Amino acid sequence: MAIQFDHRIAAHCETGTVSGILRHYGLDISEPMSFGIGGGIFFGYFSSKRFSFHKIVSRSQPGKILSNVVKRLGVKGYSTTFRNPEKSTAALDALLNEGKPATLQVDMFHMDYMPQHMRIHFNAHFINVFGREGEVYHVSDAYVPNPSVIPGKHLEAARFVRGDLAPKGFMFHPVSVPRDPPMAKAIKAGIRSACFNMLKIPIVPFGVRGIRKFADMIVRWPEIAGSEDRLAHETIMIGVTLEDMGTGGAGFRFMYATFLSEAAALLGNGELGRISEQMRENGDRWREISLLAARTGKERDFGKGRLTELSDLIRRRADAEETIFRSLLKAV
Amino acid sequence: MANQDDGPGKYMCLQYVPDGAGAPRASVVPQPMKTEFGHLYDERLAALWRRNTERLAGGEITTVTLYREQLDMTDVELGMRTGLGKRAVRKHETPAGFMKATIGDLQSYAKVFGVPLAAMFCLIDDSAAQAIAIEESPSGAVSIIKSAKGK
Repeated sequence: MAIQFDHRIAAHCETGTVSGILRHYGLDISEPMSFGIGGGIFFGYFSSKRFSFHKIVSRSQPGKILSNVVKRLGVKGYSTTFRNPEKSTAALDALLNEGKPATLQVDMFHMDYMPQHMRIHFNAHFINVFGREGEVYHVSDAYVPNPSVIPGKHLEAARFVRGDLAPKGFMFHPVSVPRDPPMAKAIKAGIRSACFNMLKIPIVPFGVRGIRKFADMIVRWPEIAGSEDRLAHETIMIGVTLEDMGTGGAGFRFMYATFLSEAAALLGNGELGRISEQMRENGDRWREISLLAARTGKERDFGKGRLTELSDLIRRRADAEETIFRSLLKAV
Repeated sequence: MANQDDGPGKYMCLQYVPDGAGAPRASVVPQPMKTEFGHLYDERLAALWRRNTERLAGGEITTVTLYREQLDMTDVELGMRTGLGKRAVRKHETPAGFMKATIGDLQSYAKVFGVPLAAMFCLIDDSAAQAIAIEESPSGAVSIIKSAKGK
């Protein structure tokens, strides 16, 4: 039996899934709004041996947006993880039988309704499941234009993969959603947490410090990569990471700008509207970095001049974002 | 209000405007995942596949390396996903070590790579039109089946 579920495509899986499930329970907040309230904007530069190469991330830890939105909007719900796949399937079926959809964390590789090029091993993909018919489950996946179906055994495999950020059968469902949530308070809390993440985490690779580290390190990438092929791939990956991996463009900066303009209208705060314009401009400049990185990778022009140009552009983004987030902190 | 031609936001692909009912809607359907830069990534993967199948045919690498690199995973990550550990993965990536892998080990790899178990032993190469031929890699671990395109 499938529940009536309003499926909408979204730029990012977690924010799209959160707004989808809350909309089902009568709380209609947009995807950028859930991103902003969840304090999703971030920057990190990682050079761990766990990654095949140095990695950049432009959003907070997967799962944090969901938990922050739920906490800040006063939604009551259950988040559960499981050790036993059979028990997790039984719990999901019980919820669906009661007519309640659930949010699941899955490995994207097993989502066989997706096009082949999107099926990569990424353990922190979020979907809403809203029905079961025989052996297949009805899925609302924010990356796919229409509601989809997935065989039960694939869903189970996707929920119990191993590796980093393993889902461990994670399942969330709201129990009660407030009719009149404290939007102003939630927006301010989201902005403050984003400012903390971008300005005040006292560890070098995070926030604006992380952007500066990225600017410093990119000129050293030729020696780190070792081969031209690897370097070409990794510079192209800058563009893919910032523009294509469910970010809504410019490493979530456009989505955050949209959140700020919605917040400005809701709170009647003109300063937020002005900062939203600055953030949008900042997003345009990030997109120039993506374009230059992709061009560098494709043309394989790794001379000192090109990488230094890229590094200068990135460093300017660090300075701009420091100014933006400092004024954002004053505005709330 | 999307895809403006100039000024801030000119590259904007995602902007939300309220519709008549007051509900926020995407004015332009966002295109998640691979949109503008993904094709470069795909080209790189195709080149990697060509190069690695040649190396496989030459007995330099094993199918474990072939599929792992195609999915852009580290040996550490593959070790965690299969539950075999990074040392076992590194061992199975050498032709000599691959011969010592158990069927259970290869089944774990095949599950993570999303390929049938048989794909760990043979590779169907239809990248160029050629007569059907079956050759073995120098290590003898993998058969390379070269098939004619369109036949």
